[in-house]
Amino acid sequence: MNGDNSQELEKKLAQKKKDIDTIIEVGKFYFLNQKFDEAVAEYKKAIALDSKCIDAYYNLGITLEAISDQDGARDAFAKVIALEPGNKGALEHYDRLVEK
Amino acid sequence: MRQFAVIGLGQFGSSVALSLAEKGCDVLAIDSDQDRVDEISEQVSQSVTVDAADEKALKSLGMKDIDVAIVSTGEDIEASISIVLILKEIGVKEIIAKAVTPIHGTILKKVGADRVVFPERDMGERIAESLASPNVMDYSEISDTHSIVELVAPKKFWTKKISELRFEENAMVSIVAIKRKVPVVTAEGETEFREEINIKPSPEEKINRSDILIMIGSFEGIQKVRGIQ
Repeated sequence: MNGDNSQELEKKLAQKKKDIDTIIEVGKFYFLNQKFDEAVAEYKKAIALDSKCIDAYYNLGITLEAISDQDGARDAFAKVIALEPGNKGALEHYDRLVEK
Repeated sequence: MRQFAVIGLGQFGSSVALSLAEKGCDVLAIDSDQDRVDEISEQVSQSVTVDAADEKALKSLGMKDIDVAIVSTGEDIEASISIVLILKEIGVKEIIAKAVTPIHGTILKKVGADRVVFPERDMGERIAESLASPNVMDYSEISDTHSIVELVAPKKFWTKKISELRFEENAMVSIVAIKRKVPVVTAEGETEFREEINIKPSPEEKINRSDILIMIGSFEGIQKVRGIQ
């Protein structure tokens, strides 16, 4: 019974991860097509599902920086750095935004 | 190649000296503080520890060949005035001096500075501008009546052609360039953006959501455009 429960949980977690990945892919699609507001909405949806999703914060940062939302972008990259202190890309973007 | 001397290696002076050196210019860096000179010595062509307000010492450096001298000992008002006077006497072709107050600036001009700069005041104005309007990325006055500004494209402009904006004739403002962030996919498959600059965009150019408009115009005109949401 315990084994069944843990299998069920693993399945659910895997499904959740898949859902988040899909949402981020949709966000990227919007970003690449210059639909920046739609991309932001997708990344925020992913963050609502997983508040520790580095990918979602990183892509949110890129999108906000592209539309000159400096404060928003800085916060998003700061979140990435807090979750993964060695994230080179986020550090580079963050430093650039702090200098502005 | 033009030869530069930077006198006073505080934050402003050392930043000017390093930027000139990075551009491949010959730079003679001078300060009375040995530590400051040591900090910069490897990056500039020549560096000397000397009290530049000391006439004999400054003359002994043989600065006749210097094309432009930047006097950045602004905080020490008396020293900066003396240095400008000495440089003028030596025959330095162009003297640029940093001032901390308008009166200081006037005196520096009277004693021979060809150009006076107020870096603290200018930076203060820029910061105030960007704080007062977060959509202003950069701002610089180019005369007593005109300025150049980098402005995040207002929503009202998105998808419109420059020719459709019709603010130029009303506000006497021109878009001289557009900085655009273009989404790209990196070699690693990540999404990123690349910044492109379109100098002198055509009237048919459409404004994008991610554009930063570089505009030149009168203070009033720029103010009008900044008010557009």
